[in-house]
Amino acid sequence: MERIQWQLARVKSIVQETPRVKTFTLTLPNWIPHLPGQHYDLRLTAEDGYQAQRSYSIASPPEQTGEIDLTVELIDDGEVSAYLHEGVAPGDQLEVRGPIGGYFVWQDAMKHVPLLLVAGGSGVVPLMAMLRHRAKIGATNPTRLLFSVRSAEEAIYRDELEEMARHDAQFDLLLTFTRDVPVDWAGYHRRIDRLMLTEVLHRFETQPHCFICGPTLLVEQVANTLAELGLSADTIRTERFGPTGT
Amino acid sequence: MNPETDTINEALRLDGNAVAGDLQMLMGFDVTLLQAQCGHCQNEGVFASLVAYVRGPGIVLRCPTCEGLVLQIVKTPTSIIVNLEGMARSVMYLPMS
Repeated sequence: MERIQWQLARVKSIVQETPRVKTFTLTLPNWIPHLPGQHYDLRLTAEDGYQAQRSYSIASPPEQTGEIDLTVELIDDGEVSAYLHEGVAPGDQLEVRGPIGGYFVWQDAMKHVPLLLVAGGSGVVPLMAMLRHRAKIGATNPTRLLFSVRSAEEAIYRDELEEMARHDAQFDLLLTFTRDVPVDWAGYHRRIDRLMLTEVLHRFETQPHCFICGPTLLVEQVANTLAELGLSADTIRTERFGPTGT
Repeated sequence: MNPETDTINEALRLDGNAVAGDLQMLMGFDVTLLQAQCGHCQNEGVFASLVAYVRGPGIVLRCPTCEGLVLQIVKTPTSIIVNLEGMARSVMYLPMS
């Protein structure tokens, strides 16, 4: 484990993913290879010395060297996300430290075990790093992403995920829309529940490893339900994003 | 009990992953995989599964089973103070070589 220190990253580019979500590509002077699922802490310091710090998951795979993508949702009254969304431009510097966390990570040693990923909203970000890395290393383990979003316009990375599903017969994308259901949508259109999780689990021949990330209440409900459905606790890993993100 | 406040508290609850950066800088290793034993109910689990409240003046980590106070972190401009009094024991399993 490398010692982590605060460092000044430079904003290389900014991509608008959805109306409320942007991806910031940061170039790091001291880039350390990360594991998919890890995060960075980002710290803002005001002129009077006041500091605000938040954790943001890495969206990019470790194969993207020298830089990281942080995908950030704009939170109402969020002092850090509001600054990032409204006050940061390419060329600016930001103070970050990482990579952090060895628990909520998908390791290469897991590449032969089926994988169930469950995301709510921007909870998809660390799972995206796992999926991108999994594609890079050519893993063929059966993998499903159950992704709950309020509406089609809020589905982060949707084009890339659908492309991934078209090219990888072992990967399924299961979207569920909880508020505005697109016209002609034949898939799920409700909050993730026990029946939905039962149906998704039935698609696996053997028990999968599970990673769940999203709003706290969604994460806890999904983790509890999966345990009730017979998955052993040590195969379920969770990360809570708080009310709607951090 | 105020149901509205309870719901807000529930939604604001994070987990041990959220404080891993501060503790890693302080201790020099990743704490999320520590097996931590609660000093109140003696249940054991990974550090990452502790319940974290991070929006107060300090950070409070509670046991997910009994909600007992396990750990507090207070940051001042010149120091980080960690109170571990609710942790009975913590075990770090070394990677297999």
